[in-house]
Amino acid sequence: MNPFKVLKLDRYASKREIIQAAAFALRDKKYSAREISQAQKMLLDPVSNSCQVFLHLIDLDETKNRLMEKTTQAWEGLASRETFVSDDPLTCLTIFESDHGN
Amino acid sequence: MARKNKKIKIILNRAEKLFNAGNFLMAEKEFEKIQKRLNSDDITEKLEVCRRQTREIKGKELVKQPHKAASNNNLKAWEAAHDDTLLLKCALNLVKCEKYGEALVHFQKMTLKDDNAFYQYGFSLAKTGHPYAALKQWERIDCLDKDFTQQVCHLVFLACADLYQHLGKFGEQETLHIHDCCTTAKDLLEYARRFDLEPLAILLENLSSYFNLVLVEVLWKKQDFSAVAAILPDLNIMDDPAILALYAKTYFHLAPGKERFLEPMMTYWLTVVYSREISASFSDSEEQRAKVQNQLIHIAENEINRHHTSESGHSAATILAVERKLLQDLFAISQKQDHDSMPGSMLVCTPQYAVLSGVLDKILDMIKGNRAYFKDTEHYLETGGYYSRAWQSLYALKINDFKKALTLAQELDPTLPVDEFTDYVLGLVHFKCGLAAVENRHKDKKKDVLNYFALTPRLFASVPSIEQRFVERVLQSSGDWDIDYEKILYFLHTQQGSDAIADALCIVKVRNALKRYNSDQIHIRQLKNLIEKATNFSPENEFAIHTLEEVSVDFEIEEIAGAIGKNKLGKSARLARGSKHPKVRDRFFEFMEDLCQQVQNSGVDVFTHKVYLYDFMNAAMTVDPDHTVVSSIKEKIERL
Repeated sequence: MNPFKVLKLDRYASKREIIQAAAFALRDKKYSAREISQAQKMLLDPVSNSCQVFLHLIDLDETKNRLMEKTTQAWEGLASRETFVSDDPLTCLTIFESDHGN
Repeated sequence: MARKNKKIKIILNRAEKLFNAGNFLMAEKEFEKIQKRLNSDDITEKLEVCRRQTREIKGKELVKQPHKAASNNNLKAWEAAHDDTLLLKCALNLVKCEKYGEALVHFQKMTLKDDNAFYQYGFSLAKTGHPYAALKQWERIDCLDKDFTQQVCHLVFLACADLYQHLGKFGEQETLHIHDCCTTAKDLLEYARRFDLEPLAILLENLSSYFNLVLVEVLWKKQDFSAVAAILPDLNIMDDPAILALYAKTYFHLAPGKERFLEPMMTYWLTVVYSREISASFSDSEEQRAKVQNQLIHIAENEINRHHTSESGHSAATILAVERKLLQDLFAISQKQDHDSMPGSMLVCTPQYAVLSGVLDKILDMIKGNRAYFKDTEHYLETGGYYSRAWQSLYALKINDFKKALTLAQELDPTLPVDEFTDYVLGLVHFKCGLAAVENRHKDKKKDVLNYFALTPRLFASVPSIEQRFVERVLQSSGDWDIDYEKILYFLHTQQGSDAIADALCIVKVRNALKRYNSDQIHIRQLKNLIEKATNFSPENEFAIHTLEEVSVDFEIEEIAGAIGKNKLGKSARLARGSKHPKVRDRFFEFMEDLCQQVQNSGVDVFTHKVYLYDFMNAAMTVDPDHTVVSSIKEKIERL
């Protein structure tokens, strides 16, 4: 069970927000009272909360930013290389024309 | 009315003449005029012919004059008639006229069949700013022409440039678009690798990983962990803690449904939990961090235990226990270590992950550099063994897959130098497999188990605790495998074995001799000889000495009984006299008493009775004249 999903909370939810979210979830009736109570318990305990964050949430922002930086650097290096850049080297080749007798 | 009919007749005649003369264009016009009034089937048929012929003629003209083709409505008729040949010719001419957009419209409406068509279609796509789509068309051409290859490479670059524009520009809802970018990036990466476009390949690796991560975020929110797992192999990142955590968590969420995910989960779980970067996010307090780490390990254990009845569940539980210990040790060492340029925390990982990330050697160096940390040699070598070249073999051994352990050990490259850890693993694997072979001997009775123990003397010399456990195992065994144990112990003894081995050999030899005697395979004399020989290996072994004493008593008593049985009272008395065991002499006097009773019960006359009693008394007196049995016989004689 993902307590963040049950209580519709993010990782930074405070104690007060967790309790409020549990009350709201009970009114919402999407999850059973047992599930809601379990989710609340999981998030109120700091050790359990950290475990639930680890299990259910991912934070890839730093990795993505690093990749963006690396990609941008690589692109800038590449775009300046003559091997890859030319105004319009694409001229129509005739090597395949015999195929249809043109 | 008559005039009208005459007029129709004239038009019909004219139309027929034109039709027969092959002037289908004019004939069509004439036929159309009269068909409105006559509505005849014959005219309908002729109109069809006229129209078909007209289209062909017009097409041929348009092929000769391509600039007119695009604006001509007849193209629609060709399309309707599925005339690919004409459409293709027209499209090709449009390409020649550099009307690529218009050419594309036609290419897309026909089935392309030859390389030129693929090329021209791709060329048009490239010229209209669709390099990736162009590549997909050119992919169908099997050609190694240098100019063509150059153009392909150029398109890869252009497609890459297109893809690069999407970097960092996705909304969460654009799942389909993200998916397309992932596919394109993966595809382009393959092109870049195939054509040795190294700088482009590096860029595309990063780009591909980036798009995949964006997609992973979307899929994670949807809790579609199977889809996330399918993306993981394409990530091309193995040194990022967040990615390691992603691996561990994805497989954790998949494990409840499929136990095959337990093993990959375990590859990353402990590495992540003990990762300094990841565990830092658990809490600011070290104590709290440790609690979270323990709870996460406990969660993994619970997951594994849910599969405890299955083989992989059982294996995973064993591996978890092993790896937990390994990582605790590495974590403790790494706290005081920054290995070269690599932080110690990067070296706190499971062996499997160490292989994936290529840090096995660095971990081994770290272990070697901290030998004092380990409580004994076995702890040190075992830890290093898990990160040695033979680590897989040791893993297999831990889950009791002896066959795999041995096969993996035998597959190791013999040309590479053997370090102390690999040497330990090889010795241990052969030794344990040897024991397993002995204890499962019913499966392969002919196999010579001694081959397994060639490396054992070296293993015992470096880790005496293993020898100690082996000796305890032998001595505490039920005795079912004593014959093999004796062979192994004898072999180890001949290889400069320790006193403990000699002691165990002595005991096992005695046990084997007793077993043979008890199953009537040998006589007590042979038993005594065998035990005497056994004591040579360990002269002070109490078990052997005691057994020898007991057997000697029994042996002497048996000899005395034999002599009495043959009426050789003198010999029996001599044997009793010569024995150093009081028990033997006691037994001799018991025999004398028994004989007295037997004679008394036999009902012989008094004289004969007295003669027998005198014989018994004389024999008994040579052994111990003061023995009560002697005086008892004397009394019996006097009473007669």
